[in-house]
Amino acid sequence: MLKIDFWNIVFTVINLLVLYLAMKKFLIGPITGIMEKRKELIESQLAHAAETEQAALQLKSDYEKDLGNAKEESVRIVDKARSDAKAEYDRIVKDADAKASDIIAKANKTVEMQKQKTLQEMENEITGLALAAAAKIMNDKQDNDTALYNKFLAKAGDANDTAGN
Amino acid sequence: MEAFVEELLEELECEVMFEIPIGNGVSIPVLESVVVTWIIMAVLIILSKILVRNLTIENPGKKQLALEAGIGFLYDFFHGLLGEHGKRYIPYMMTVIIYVGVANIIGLFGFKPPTKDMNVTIALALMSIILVELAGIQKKGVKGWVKSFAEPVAMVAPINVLEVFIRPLSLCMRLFGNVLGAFVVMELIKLCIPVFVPAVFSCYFDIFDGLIQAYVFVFLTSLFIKEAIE
Repeated sequence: MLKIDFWNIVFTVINLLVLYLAMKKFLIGPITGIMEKRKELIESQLAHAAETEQAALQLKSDYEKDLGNAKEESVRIVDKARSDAKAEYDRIVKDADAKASDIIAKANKTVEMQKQKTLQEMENEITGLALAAAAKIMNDKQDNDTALYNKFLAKAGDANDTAGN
Repeated sequence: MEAFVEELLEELECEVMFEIPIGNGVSIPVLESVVVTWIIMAVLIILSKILVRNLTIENPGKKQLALEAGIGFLYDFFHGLLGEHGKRYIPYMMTVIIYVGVANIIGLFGFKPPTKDMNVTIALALMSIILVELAGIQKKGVKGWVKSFAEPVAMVAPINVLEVFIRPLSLCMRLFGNVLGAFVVMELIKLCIPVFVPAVFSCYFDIFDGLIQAYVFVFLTSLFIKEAIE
């Protein structure tokens, strides 16, 4: 019990060292190793999750940006369509104005022509009337004077021209 | 009464199990404590081999979880005492607490606890103090380690040097005394009242005191190491 024996101290030291190595190799090493590995696994999974979240957020912001761009684009398209329509409208109205004034001008011309034609007809009729009147006068006076007739005709025509104009 | 005392002394004596002849008629006696230590080692190694089989990273079984919880508890305990720099000493401290713990309670299985033999506690204390001083040398270098004896003032150097011997002595004697005392008390109780009562007291003297002494031993050794590597 109280007997100190050098060799047995040496044996115990050797025993302890052997036990230390054996425990380290067979018990503590494998278990701490596996705990360490699990910790690493969990950490890597967490890191992966964080990465994925980052990517998702990136995608989301991209989509939001795209959406904003699309809105701007649509506004731009509508504006362009509106301005195009306005230009087209203006062009059509201008065309219509031009056509209308064309038509009016033509109508005026037609009216003028009609008037000329009517005047011509009236002149012819007056000539007929004058002839008839002259014939009646010749019958009355037996005076078949062509010179007198022409003189009258010239006079009557001049008088008629003056009245017409 | 005479017979009683003789019987008690017989129980206390650490027997020589066998002798290793080294020639010239001289032989090395191998004590019971060393043989029991071999038995403990064998049991621990076989148990480790059996328990550590089929460890998995994912979905560990109940057995593995219990094992991990136990080793993890010890690891955290020593990590807390030794700090990050003393991490390399953790496996040794774990080995010692397992060995001393088992050695202290092996009386329950009818063996004489090896820690009842002073040779074993001397060996344990020697290894502890060597580890402490080696840790100090490793951390500070030989010069720094020598200088550290003169800290905080040169005056205390003799006391610091003395500490190198006092520390292992106190470690060794505390463990030895506690286990021996517990053993003697248990033997007395067994001799007086052999039924039931020893079982009750055994819970305290063998299990509680045994584990507490194992804890105290490694706790103090860890503190000394921590102090040496600071």
